[in-house]
Amino acid sequence: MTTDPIVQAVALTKIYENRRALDGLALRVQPGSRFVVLGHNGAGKSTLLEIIATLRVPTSGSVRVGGFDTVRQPREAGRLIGLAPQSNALDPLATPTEVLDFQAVALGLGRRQRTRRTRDLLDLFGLGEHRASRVATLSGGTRRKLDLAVALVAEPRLVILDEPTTGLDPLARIDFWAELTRLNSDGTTLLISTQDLHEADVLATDIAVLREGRVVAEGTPATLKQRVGTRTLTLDLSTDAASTALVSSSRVGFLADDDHANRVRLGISDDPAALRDALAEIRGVAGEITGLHLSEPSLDDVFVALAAR
Amino acid sequence: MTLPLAVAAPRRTPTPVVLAAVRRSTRAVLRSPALLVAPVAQSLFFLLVYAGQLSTVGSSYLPGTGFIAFLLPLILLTGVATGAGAAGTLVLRDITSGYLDRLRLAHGSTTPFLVGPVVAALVAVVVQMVITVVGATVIGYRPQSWPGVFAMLLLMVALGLGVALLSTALAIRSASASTTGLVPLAVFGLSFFTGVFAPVDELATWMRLIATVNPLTYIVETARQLGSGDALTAAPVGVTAVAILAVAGIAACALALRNARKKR
Repeated sequence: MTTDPIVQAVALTKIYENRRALDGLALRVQPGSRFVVLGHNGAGKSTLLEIIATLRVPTSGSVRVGGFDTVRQPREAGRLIGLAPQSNALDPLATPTEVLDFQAVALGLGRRQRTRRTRDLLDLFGLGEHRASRVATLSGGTRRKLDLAVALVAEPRLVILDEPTTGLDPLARIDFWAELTRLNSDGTTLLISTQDLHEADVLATDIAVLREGRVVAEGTPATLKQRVGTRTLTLDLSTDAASTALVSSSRVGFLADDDHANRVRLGISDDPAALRDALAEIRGVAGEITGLHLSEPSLDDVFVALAAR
Repeated sequence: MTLPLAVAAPRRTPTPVVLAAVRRSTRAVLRSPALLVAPVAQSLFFLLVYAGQLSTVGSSYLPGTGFIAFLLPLILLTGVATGAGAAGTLVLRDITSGYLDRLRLAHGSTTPFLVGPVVAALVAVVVQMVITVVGATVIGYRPQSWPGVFAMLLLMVALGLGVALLSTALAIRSASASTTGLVPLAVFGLSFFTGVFAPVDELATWMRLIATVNPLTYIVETARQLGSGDALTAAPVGVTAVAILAVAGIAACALALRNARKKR
């Protein structure tokens, strides 16, 4: 069964003066998914999210959110979206109660709805004890939770989070990921941009890898890992020269390791012919092998292979 | 074909949002000592220093007019220049943090979130002027007419509106703290090229020339005439200058918003 995508971008291009931030990008985000956009700095992640959130206008191409065009029907599209921007976009001098209530006013909710929604969100995110503290005095993790709570005031179907855990300590990150997963389990679609590959591995049901304003790979974390090899073989050789010689003569794609000059890596696929060729090359350096390690591919491998400049 | 999802359209009438935005910004001003206390302290400082050091000398060449009454409009004007600039500071804070974008996405328009800081800055200006007038009264200010003083404060609020709007426009256009601060700085600086301690006719020739073309001279003179109950000879130019500043502020905000929309 096919479902209408909650976000559909077609031939999306954005040019800032002389810089092409997005270049004919196409994207489909299915409802209920946790869709992660991966890419290095300047790959176009934030621009993409801002266009989807109706905050920017594409130079050409279009985006539909819930079927509404973000340029021609920004208000209708905006009603489906909750936004948590890259920085904590909050009023530092207000309390969490005031921030949530003001967001509800901006959305046009009546007094009773505002009071109920504010109370529910404070309870949901465990912010009750901070309800009267000023935002500026809250910890980074608590501010991020409030940021997410503000994004949820409208009860949106799509929540957009731009690098949501940047600057959080490890425990706060794990806590925040749990909040996102809980939110998603209620059917809310999450669209997340990040450079944190571990975050993507933990959260994503679907990933798009961006490079120079284009989607260069898209799929589930598992399928993307398979694209760069089902396993990664790491060989330690006795000399740096042996490793250099293997990398330069390799037809199966042995790569040098950036940190160890005598170490080489190879993504191994399920293709028998490729495996046979790899074994032949390994046999050629058999006498030089001092260590061997076989590992599952990670999103780091995907990122290095697909998103690197 | 993808059918649009059904979405309930909530009420988005501007009045409750504008009122809430004004409340929020006023709260922010009251919670930011730098935005309220600094202009009050500045006004009281100038009042006490100038009055303490020059009132005896001043009274000798200002027959029939108390020196504090002569000085007060300029003290209020410099305070307005500093205080009304808070509007730009508040708007800039929301722009740089991304909060304004978030509010625009929620409401569909930016305008109420700009009106809030402008009105809040004017509230701060009123509080600051009342404190300054009370301070002046404590050290000997006795106006000819309290309704005249009230009219003087209204004139200053109108001037504050222009300053607040222009600093807001610069905040939107530049997103830079140093640029946003230019309007209050310019008004503050220009205020000293008026008849600060003596009537314009008594100034050195070159300073008199500058003061004659400086629109703030006529605003200060109008304020003095309102306070003293004299004929409002400077009012046509003074009130026109205030009105032009306010209209320029509205036009600058509209242009800055249009530019921001084009840059999106």
